[in-house]
Amino acid sequence: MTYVQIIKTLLKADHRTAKLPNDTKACDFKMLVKGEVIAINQDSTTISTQTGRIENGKIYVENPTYHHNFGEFVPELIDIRNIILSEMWRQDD
Amino acid sequence: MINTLKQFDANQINELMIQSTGVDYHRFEYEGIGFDYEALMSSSGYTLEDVSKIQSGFNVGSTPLIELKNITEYARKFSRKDFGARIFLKDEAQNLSGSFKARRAAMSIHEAKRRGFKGVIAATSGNYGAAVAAMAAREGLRCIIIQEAFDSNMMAQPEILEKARACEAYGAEVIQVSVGPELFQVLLNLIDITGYFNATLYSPYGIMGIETIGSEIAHQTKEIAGKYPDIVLVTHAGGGNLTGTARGLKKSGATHTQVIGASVNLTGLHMASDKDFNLKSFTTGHTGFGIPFATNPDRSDVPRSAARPLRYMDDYFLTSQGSVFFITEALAVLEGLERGPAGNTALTVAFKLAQERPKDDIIVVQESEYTGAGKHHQSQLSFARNNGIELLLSSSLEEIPGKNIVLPSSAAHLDVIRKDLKELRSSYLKKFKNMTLSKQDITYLANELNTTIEEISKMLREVNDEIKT
Repeated sequence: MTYVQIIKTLLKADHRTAKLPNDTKACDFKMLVKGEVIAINQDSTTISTQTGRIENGKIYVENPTYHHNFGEFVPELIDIRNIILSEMWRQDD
Repeated sequence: MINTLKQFDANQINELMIQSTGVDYHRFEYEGIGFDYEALMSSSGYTLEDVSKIQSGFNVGSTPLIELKNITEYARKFSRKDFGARIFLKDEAQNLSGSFKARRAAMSIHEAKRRGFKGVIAATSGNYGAAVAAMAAREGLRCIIIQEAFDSNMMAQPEILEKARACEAYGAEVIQVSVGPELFQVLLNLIDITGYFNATLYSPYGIMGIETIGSEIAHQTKEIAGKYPDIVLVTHAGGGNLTGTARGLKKSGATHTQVIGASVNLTGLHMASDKDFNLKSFTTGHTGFGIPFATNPDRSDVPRSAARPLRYMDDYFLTSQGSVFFITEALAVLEGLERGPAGNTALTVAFKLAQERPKDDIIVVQESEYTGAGKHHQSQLSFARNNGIELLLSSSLEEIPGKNIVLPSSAAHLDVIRKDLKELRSSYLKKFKNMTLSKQDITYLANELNTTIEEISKMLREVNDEIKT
């Protein structure tokens, strides 16, 4: 089984008719969805999604997983932690 | 398959809504501008007891009400003598899927199952997606969640990525789209294609699901403290949380409890802007939803929203992103509760309001939410810094959304801003400028804005004058 995330453009920028700020109006309206590859065509890939829908698009990520995390170290968080603890418990230290 | 986005006119949308929610919105329309809100709300036939029973069948609800003794003590260090109200937290993070949204989802999924739908669909980037996915999993229903997720650089908010992961963990299909209101078109197209139930946040089911929070708070506070809360603070975005909580409180006898909304101030950031999308550290609970959904509730994904916050809001306060992160940290290190951050918006305002209230007053914060990778305040602050947002320690009032995040350099520097409800009411009325309104219209507006007929007439004159000059 090959599991992928595909990308497709639903509206080209010049076809967007909704009331939009200019920066958004200049962008294509795109969508991402994941599924199992059922056919590889010349310029697109066909997938079956988790609900069994058929979708078509360009492969965006093969074997997609999750990379979001707790971010990088933020020293200011240690600062406020110490402020809170000292204001609460250690004012007389 | 969605190839091109099909456009639907108002009649087609109403037809799709009847098919996908079972609610015929036309049936409740008055002649003129209004509709019969209470008839819409009671059209499902469920009582508060029915809702509670359905939710407990999903193992949802009956969450603990926790007195935050240390947070209260911390607030008292900055209060006058005999001031510093007691702060309680309704720990909604303990619901399945980690937030109060499980209550709304349970009702929608129950209804979808009862009506024989094969699947459900919802457009949400927030906790509601995970809630719908989790409840659908329990009923063996298929589930599609549509998220507004990424900007034109394909950069997604870490919090939204975490919600997508949670939805997929419960077996849902997640569709992620780029910034823009066309999200609604995607929803309509998918309803049309799949024939699934529309588990919108704004249906009567979505709102009655929250009424049990208000009801539980009334009973629990009375049992613990011998009286109803003086204030219930609600994080306000789309309006459903505030509407449902207030209705539940009233239905349970807490008619004198003040219901106060709280939102993170994101003034200056445009919600449909591709550029601004990743300059904010909150994807909900902020003014970008809170104000437009109060002044124009029917901008939601149903013809008539069941969330109508100005009917119930007694006061409204804005806080800052940095202040909420500060209180999120305080909740963890003083109470051992790792929650939020967005769900701690109301708690942040409670911390400040408690300082101005007598010691015996009771303030209940009516929600908390789970935290973790992507959602955690360190993920948010790190993401903000990588997007060019400056992090400072100073007074919270110095925060400029999209430019900096100011972490208060002391709890004494955590401030909130009162938003005048009169301003919101006038803004609501602007769409009726120079219209001839009937007596029934004026009565409807008085109910919508929780004020008198005389006051509505006066405000309408002011709105009309303002337009002329």
